[in-house]
Amino acid sequence: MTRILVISNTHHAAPADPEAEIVLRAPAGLPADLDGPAHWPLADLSYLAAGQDAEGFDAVCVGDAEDFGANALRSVLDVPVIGAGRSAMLYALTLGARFGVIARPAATHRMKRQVQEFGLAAQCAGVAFAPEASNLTNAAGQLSDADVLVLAGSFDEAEAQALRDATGLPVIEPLALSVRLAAGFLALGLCHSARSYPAPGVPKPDMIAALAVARG
Amino acid sequence: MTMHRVLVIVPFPMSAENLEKRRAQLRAVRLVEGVSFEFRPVAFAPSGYVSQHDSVLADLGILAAGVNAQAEGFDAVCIDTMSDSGMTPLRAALDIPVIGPGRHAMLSALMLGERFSILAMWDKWRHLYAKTLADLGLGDKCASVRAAGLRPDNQSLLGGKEDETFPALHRAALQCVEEDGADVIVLGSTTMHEAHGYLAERLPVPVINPGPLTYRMAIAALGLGHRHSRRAYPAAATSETARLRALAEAGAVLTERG
Repeated sequence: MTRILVISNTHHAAPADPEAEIVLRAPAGLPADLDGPAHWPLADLSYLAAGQDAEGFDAVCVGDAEDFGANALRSVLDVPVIGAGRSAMLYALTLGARFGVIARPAATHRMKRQVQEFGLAAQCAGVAFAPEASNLTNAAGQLSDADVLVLAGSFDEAEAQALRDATGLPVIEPLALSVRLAAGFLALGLCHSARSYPAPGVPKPDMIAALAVARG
Repeated sequence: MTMHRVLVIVPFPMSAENLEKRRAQLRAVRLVEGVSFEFRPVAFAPSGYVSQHDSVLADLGILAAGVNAQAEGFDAVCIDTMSDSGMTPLRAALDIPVIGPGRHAMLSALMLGERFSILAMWDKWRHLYAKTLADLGLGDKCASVRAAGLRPDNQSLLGGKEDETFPALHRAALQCVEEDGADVIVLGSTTMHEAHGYLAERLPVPVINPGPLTYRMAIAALGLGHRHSRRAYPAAATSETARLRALAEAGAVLTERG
């Protein structure tokens, strides 16, 4: 059976998939404060360290929408690596012309940056924040130009469904989507492009692993 | 187990034998139990997809073929043409996922790399890609549209012409990668699926086979309960189903007469 490694800081259970065994691995040593770029390189390191040894897995999902470490993992792995945030935004555009992002406060700044980096500012109706699941509908109200909503920051599929029911809009939960996309890409024989994500001149997995656990 | 039925609308009227060449796309992808795909040719179509005149007929033919899909018990619709003809009106008419390969292939390409090229059989399809790229607002992500200078055959596809067509497509695709900077290649037509394996083996970048991609996108949408947004594709206030049925019948008669 296909095995997919999901790297995620979620407190929810790994999504089930009818085609694959899902193994959830938490990134170790994540900084407590990710609400700004100061600590993002440390987060990249945590996710890269968690995923660089993907022996025995057919695909890897960086299951959190912030996509920490996803590009780096693509440069060192030759199995498909899915960045949940990037994929969710692009997938949202299959369902509508504009998407809006609803993020936990700690993910808001990162998601705004991601929208810019992916060149999707024109297609994005905005990034709103919701401290808790109970605030999701209010946050959606700030995104009145969005055809599709993308969640960021450890909301689960049940919360996504509740928001679908409340707004009538498609709501994308990136973690669950990333697993489905990984299964789909595997079924099609597709992998990320080595031209976009070239291999390092000298891979340094031991250094990555050691730096990830170094503490002050 | 829940059974899902997916309607695949084939954009040209055709014989059972030629329809089998379209159905062969199912063999290029691993599918899942519980989802079946039924291929249906349109009742009428333009001779080719080379002008805006053709686009009107293509939209109508595909809309007429799929407008009753939900009432017929289908759970999703895939459109078997990179032009995405009929996708927008079908989305407005139906509450089930409607998957167009053009839109989905371009967006999926950007999940795999930074820039993609579209590899076409001939240059007369260029307007189809320009329309979708403009609709998505992602023209700057397209490294190039390159054509191999081959006249397409929407009935027999590439069969019997492999020695000529496959190397020509490979040459054009390599130019996309080496000269234009493509990180991903998107086949510019679902009719090119017979060349996918040849190209995927020989090119240094992922090659998206758009028809099979739509089957997996339908599976994902059904599994996750996704469908298109009503804000983007508002439903019509009135139904033209009866007129579309009459139009299909009239078109079928004209097609039969040649």
